[in-house]
Amino acid sequence: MGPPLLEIENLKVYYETRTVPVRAVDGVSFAVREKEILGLAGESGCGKSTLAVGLLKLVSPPSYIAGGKVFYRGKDLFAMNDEELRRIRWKHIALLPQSAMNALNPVMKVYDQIKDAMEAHDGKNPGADPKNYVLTLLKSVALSSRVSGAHACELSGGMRQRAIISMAMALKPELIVADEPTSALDVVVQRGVLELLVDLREKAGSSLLLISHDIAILSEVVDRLAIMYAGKMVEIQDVYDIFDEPLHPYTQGLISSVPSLEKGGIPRSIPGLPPDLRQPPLGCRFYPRCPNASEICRREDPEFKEVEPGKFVACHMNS
Amino acid sequence: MGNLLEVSNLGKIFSLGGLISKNSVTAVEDFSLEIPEDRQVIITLAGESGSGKSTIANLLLGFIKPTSGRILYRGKDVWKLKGAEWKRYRRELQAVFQDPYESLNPFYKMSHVMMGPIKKFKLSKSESEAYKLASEALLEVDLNPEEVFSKYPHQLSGGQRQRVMLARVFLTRPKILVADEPVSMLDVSLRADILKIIQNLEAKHDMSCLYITHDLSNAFCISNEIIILYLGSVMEQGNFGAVIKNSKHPYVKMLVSSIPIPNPRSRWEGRVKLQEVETARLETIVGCKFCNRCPEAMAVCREKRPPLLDLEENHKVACHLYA
Repeated sequence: MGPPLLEIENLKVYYETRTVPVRAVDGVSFAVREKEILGLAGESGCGKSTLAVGLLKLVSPPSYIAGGKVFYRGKDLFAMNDEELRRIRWKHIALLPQSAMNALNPVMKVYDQIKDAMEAHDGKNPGADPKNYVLTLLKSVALSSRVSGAHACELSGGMRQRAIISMAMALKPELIVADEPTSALDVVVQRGVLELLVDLREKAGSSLLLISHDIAILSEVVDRLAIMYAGKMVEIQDVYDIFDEPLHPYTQGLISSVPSLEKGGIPRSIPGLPPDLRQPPLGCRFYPRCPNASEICRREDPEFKEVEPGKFVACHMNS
Repeated sequence: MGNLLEVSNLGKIFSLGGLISKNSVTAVEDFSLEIPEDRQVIITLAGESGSGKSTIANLLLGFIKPTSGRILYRGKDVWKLKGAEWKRYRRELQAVFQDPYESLNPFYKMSHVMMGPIKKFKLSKSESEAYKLASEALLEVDLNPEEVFSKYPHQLSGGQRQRVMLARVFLTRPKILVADEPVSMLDVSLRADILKIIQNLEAKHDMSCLYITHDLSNAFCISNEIIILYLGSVMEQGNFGAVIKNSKHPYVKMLVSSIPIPNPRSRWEGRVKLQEVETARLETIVGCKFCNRCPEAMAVCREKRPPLLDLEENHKVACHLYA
């Protein structure tokens, strides 16, 4: 695995409310390395999607960046002006937002939309043959050339999702941030779309930050797995290590709450509910649900740190 | 002993468009199901979107009328039940749906929600008895009645709302529960609790369940029989373990091998093939509905619809490969 491509330092993304802000992403630090697939998992409301848009500064009110820095190949993204950022987005870092399949413009043909996105972020290229290039792109996601002339409503969910993926790959970005790219798809199509994404990324040599609530899906393809809970990063490890020996009690709970066709039987649930992110608990945000909590967990927020090479965790009981 | 519920050759065709156009969609075709009277079963009805699972739920619940076939409850055609018999059917066959937030009226507190079935089916003689019944039902699903009665739907979590729905179902002591994707809206860490409640109702309170889902991993936790649908037709059915470990139908093989296993050491092997263009309209397919995607399709598959064949005890498949 390569050196870091994207480094996120103490990122905070909050949502303004009438009273106190919702601290949806509250001091998250991690790195995406070159050519890796990093999975990011957590329950709904843990801040996964907010993190995905926050790291590209694609926030709009009521959400705002409340602190932190993001470095892409050492360059500070948040110090750039809008124009510079626009050149990074899509060309270097592409974001597939949640329910991206609904992101296609209903009155534009697929071909025109892909061409549009390319020109918006890369400028017009007089010598190029966009028609041919788009057809190659569509072929790479196993879509026939007929799709280029189709409107979104003529395509199934899986085909729309593939069209969007081809659009994201158009400028060969170095990092693709994919937020739940397969969550609304049927099982077989979900597998197919994910395999496509992984293969395309392999060919292009890009990195992938794959966000999902489903750790079973992530365990199929990722190299490393990151777990978020209530706006905090709680653990990052190699995917094999994290399944063999999860360090954080939340990760342990999450893994054993997933049903498996291999094992059968009802899995264990995690008692309790995630905290209100307007007033999260003072110490560790997981302590009210944690089976191992002690006095210090109530008082002090555990630091997210590397406890062994490549193993990051935020837990008082593990440092 | 006879069957409590007997569904035979059920079909539903929805006609589309106005009076002139004659477009129609076959949502369910030749569907049969039996729920015995003397023992409880949890049967999974699985399939991808558009496979007709929810149409079957709606047919069983009497929301829509079948185009063909019959639904017999305690030996009588459901569409011919009247008065007290119809009411009994509605009491003994209950449902929970995917989104409890949509099933609950936002203006009513849970106490009102719980009183609904009690009044409708005249389950109690006095108000105090009604409260006692409602409290018992809430305790059965691990909710604290005192706490929950005074809450509005938005004050409960998704898991709590779904439990209220199950408590409400439990009030009428149903014989059959139709559960249409009851956990898919909930967070993974909370799903197990709902599954346990359904299992408990089956084991302790003599309730059978038709568990409708697209998620086989969750269904496998509580169910021992499965029916797999594809575009309205049964592809394979029988013992859950046999169907997933020893799948026969090419579609079911593809489906089962694509289900993610939460273990990085058992990853998908090879690559699954995706469709390049939208397939022809279903009505134009005379043979097997899966033939256009099937890696093992033969000439006969395009010409004749395969019948549901008995392979072994409690394992059936609709595929020409096994004819």
